Amino acid sequence: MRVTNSMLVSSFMGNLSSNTARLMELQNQLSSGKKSASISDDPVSLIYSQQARQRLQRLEMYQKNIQTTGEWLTQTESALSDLNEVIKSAMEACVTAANDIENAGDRQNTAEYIAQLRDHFLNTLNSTYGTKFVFGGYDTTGYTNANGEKANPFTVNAAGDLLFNGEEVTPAPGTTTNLGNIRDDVLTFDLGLGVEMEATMNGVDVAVYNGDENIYGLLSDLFDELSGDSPDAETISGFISKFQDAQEHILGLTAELGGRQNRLEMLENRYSMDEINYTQMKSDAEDADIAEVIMNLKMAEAVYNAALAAGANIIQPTLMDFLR
Amino acid sequence: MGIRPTFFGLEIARTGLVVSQKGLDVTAHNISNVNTPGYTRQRLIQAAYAPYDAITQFRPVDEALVGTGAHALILDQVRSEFLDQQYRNALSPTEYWNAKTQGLQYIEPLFDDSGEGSLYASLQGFLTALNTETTEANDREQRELIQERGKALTDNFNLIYSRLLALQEDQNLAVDTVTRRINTIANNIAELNKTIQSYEVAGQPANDLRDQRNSLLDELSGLADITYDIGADNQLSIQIGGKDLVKHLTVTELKCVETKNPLTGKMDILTPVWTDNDAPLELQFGELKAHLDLQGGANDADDDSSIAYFAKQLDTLARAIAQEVNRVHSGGYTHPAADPNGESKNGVHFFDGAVAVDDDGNGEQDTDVDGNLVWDYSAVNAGNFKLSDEVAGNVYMIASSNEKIVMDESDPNFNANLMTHVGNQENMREIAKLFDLQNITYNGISIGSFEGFLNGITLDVATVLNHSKNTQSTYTTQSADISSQREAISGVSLDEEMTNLIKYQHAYNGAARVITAMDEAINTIINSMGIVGRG
Repeated sequence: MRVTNSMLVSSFMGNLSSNTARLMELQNQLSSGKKSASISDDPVSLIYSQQARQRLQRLEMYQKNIQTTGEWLTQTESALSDLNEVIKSAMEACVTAANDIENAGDRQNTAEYIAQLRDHFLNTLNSTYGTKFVFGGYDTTGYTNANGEKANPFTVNAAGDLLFNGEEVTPAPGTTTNLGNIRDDVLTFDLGLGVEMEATMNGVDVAVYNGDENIYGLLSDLFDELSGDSPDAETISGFISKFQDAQEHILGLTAELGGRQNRLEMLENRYSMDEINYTQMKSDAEDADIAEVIMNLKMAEAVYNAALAAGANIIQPTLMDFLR
Repeated sequence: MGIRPTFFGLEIARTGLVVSQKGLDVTAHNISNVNTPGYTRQRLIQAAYAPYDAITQFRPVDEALVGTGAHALILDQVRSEFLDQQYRNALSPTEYWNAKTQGLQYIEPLFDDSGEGSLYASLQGFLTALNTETTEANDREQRELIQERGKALTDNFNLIYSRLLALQEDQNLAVDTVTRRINTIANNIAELNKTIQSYEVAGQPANDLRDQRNSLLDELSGLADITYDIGADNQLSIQIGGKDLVKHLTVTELKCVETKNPLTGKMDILTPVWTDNDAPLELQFGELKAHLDLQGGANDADDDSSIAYFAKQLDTLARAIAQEVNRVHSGGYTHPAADPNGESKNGVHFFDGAVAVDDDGNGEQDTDVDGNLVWDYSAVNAGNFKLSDEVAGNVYMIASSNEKIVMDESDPNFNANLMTHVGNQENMREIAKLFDLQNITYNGISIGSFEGFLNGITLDVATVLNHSKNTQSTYTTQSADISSQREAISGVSLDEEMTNLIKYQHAYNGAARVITAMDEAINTIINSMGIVGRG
């Protein structure tokens, strides 16, 4: 084959530019840490990287939801344990009062104590997580009463009945009430994989036990009995079994919360593992193997130098150099 | 023996001098053009003159016939028509994929989904904001976040759409430029046809003009996939899609007409047609075809590598998002704070652009089998995709609740002391769940999921460009290879020319020496013959 000068030049230039292109690609990988500079470099990896990116975003989102749910559950649990303490104390007071029925002064003190427990019970029902009422159903910021004022979800009317968002929690049979509309309202959060979880409980479910009695009312009744003119030891003893029912009710709810927290923890563990897997998948698809890149870069540099040296040798001499 | 003219030997040597001189000139021309693009090396074809006696009628039969010198027969170009054809065949796909790759490389960054500012990131940002609202319902900041992220999403759609339109406009410009260039080349070739003809009437090839014509033909074959033939009188004819662009001395020019843009509906897509019958150009390859494909005019809108196609995919996604989010959002209830009368409304759209459908013409909006109102989203595109005026104007217009929120006594729905559902985020949960649906359809088109569809568009861009780059590299290698073969035949080799230089120089010196020898011989005859005894 006839080889001309411009062939030598153009093939040298072609090789040199493909060498520099390779150098640039490797230097790009090294300085960016990424395998490809643009999405078209490796569409197959792009598929994996897209999948991983989407999963990671979801994981981050749902891990945040899990954290929020966990915080709500902790708050709910501590409120429930407060309520449990109230009932326990009331029960002990009840036992003491039943055995010491004759001492009017002690009885009066016990009545005062029960009144305080009752108020504490009400306050605990109105406990908040941040600025939001834990047991308020959807009315997390409280409800607006008939006077247009903001009020706590749990209030007491003139008759001493416990109200939830203005509705009696244990209305007398046959009364018209809106309670049915709101007693099932509970904040529910999505935790991914189709799992949803109630982050707290509806206050009515907490306050009401045995179907149609509420704990606040129970405390009120005890107070009324103790502060009445002729308290009866039998009647007061009768409260003990009711308090036991109430306590069982609250402990039952606590156990349910514990179950939810377990599920939450399992989900959290699973997501942490998923996060590791998908991060790995994303890294496999996107990140350059630095050691390999450096090795390739060194090789490419050597080839580039050789090409330059070859160019310097090949291009120069012609027949003219040997003619006198 | 026939009679030999006295000065015959001098004449033979003179032709040698002339031919060698010419050889030196050709060598000089070749060396001068060693770097001239498109230059074909030339070669002097020299031949011997017939013997003097051979042309006389009465010649002795027993005489050896001596030739009468040399002459330059023709100045030949060393080129292979076959390789020219090969090169030009390879050049039109090479230039096609070159232009296509370049065009797609401008589109690629718009769809690169790895960055913070990508469309994908803003879609996920929107979802994140929706999700936060599902756990933090009722907070003003969360609603503002949704509004802001929603706006960022639509802005990103708008931005990418307008960039795509600008790129389409750039391709338009390229179509116009290339069409003009084709016309210029066609006219130049016709002109050269004429000049070459007038030169070659004398019988000698017009080599350098042919080089010019060949160069133009090379360039033209990069612009469009042409066919050509060289007819009688060496007249070059060129066809595009079987129709004559140049036929001998006549040229049929091309012009650009404005056709409908499948994206905007405006008449702003330039399409090249023949000036004589307004028929569109039939192209398979070449730079012009690449620009037309990228542009995605009327016939190419469904070409899955055109700008119009990608923009239309974005349109579909924007419509699907608007349709689905609006459908769920309008089923929810807004916060009373958004309304002067404190009313919690439903039926509010999150995104703008829905048009009420009334196909039965009864003056009322149609409803589907489930009793839902029917809306048409075909007016929405990626360029005008935006939040509804309600949601853009007031964050409390975002319908988080799935039940009516009542909080004001003047409201007829106000019931007892009830203000309920302010913290209800059930509807927001439904909206957020849209992002995990895998079976969304818009207008019969299966979208899958929002992110999946967007990922699909991104993957389309990546795959199409990847394919284009690979094909480009294959064709570039091929045409470089052919070009190198062509160069091997037609290119100037300095070593070779140096050798020729020495060859012709020696021949010249030899001829000169012959003249000296003849001179001495004649001198002998004239001055030294017949002087025996004189001196």
